[in-house]
Amino acid sequence: MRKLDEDVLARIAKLGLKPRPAILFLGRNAVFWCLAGLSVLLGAASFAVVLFAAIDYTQTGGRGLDEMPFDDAAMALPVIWGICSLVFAVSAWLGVSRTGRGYRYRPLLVIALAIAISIGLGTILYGFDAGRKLHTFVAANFPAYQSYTAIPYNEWSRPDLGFLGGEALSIDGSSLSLKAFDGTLWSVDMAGAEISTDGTPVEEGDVAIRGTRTGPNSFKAVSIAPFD
Amino acid sequence: MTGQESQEDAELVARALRDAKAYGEVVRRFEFVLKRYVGRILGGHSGHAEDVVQDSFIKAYVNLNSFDRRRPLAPWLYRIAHNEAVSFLRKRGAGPLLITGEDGQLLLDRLRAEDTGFTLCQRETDGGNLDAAMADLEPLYRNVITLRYLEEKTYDEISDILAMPPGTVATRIRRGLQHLKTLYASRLDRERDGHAQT
Repeated sequence: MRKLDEDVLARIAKLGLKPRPAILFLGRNAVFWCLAGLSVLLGAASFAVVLFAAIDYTQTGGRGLDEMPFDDAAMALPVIWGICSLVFAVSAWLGVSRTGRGYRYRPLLVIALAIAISIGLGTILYGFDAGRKLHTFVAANFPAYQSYTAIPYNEWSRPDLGFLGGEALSIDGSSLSLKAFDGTLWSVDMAGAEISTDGTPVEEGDVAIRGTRTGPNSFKAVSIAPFD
Repeated sequence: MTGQESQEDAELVARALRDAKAYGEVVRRFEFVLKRYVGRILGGHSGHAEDVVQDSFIKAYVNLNSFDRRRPLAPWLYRIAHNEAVSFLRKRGAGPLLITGEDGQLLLDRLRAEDTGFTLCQRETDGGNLDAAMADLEPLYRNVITLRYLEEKTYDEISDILAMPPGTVATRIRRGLQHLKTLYASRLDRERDGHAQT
């Protein structure tokens, strides 16, 4: 009659097996928790951009979300960042499920929790202007990104249609010198325009101007509002 | 599984980590239940159960430090043995689990005792039809029913063994029983039709 315990011990001795060190398992566990945390953080950053885009679009577009046609409202949300938020929520679950006892949590619960945390944390990040910074960074480094997003910078870079935005550099009488979002310099006639900035447009910094294009780099303003 | 048993398991594992010979006690304590369980998974290949269990114990020894000592040892060992058995079957391209007539009768008795709705058959012994119904059942349901009604594991233990949320275990058991009842009833109908024709 074979004795299993003796066979097992003999094989362990013969193969010179030793238990793998505990630090290996602790490390593996920590890595997956970190990946899950990182996913939630990236999801939060993505949501901060979504929030930035939606709020910026509605504010600088001069219309509330409820007044917008559905297409415009949909354009206000950068779909790519919304998808990123969801992908990161799913990857958070993948991380959690590979931790020691992660299998005990329901996938949908983990994903819902990751989305909820991403939304909460993303709102806080938006408060610190992280959404705009991330968008600006990606737009500056990935040209393809600009063509797939319809964030207000684009909306306010259509002087032929009466929308011009950028940084107010200086004022000379009723003429405003403006550096548009695409980097071109403009001369804007402010005479008679409704100005709703706190202080002068130069003090405001980025402004959104409505009006009419009058030349290659000149514009007649009807209204000048803060771009925020 | 009581807290005291969990503590005993933790002490046993601690001893085995210090001295490989103490691991023999782990093998002796769990070899019977693991052989029985692996035999149930392997079905027609149950002659290989001892080899699979031996491999499982070796794998468990190498990964002993990954065992959470606040938890009972049995589900952790069952999980390793389950994975080894499934891997064994996969390598051989083997078919579904086929429990023996003895297990079929045991399963039927326990299903009746737990008021699971298995009152279809008036006969006291009809394990054979249940064996066949179990063989037709999808593996995801067969696994949980085997663990719940043949190995008598709790939902929590099954969750640890099959690495799935306890809620999913409960759902699979409920659905598995419904499927099993349907399959079992159709077996009985076919048997009845056969008798009527003769």
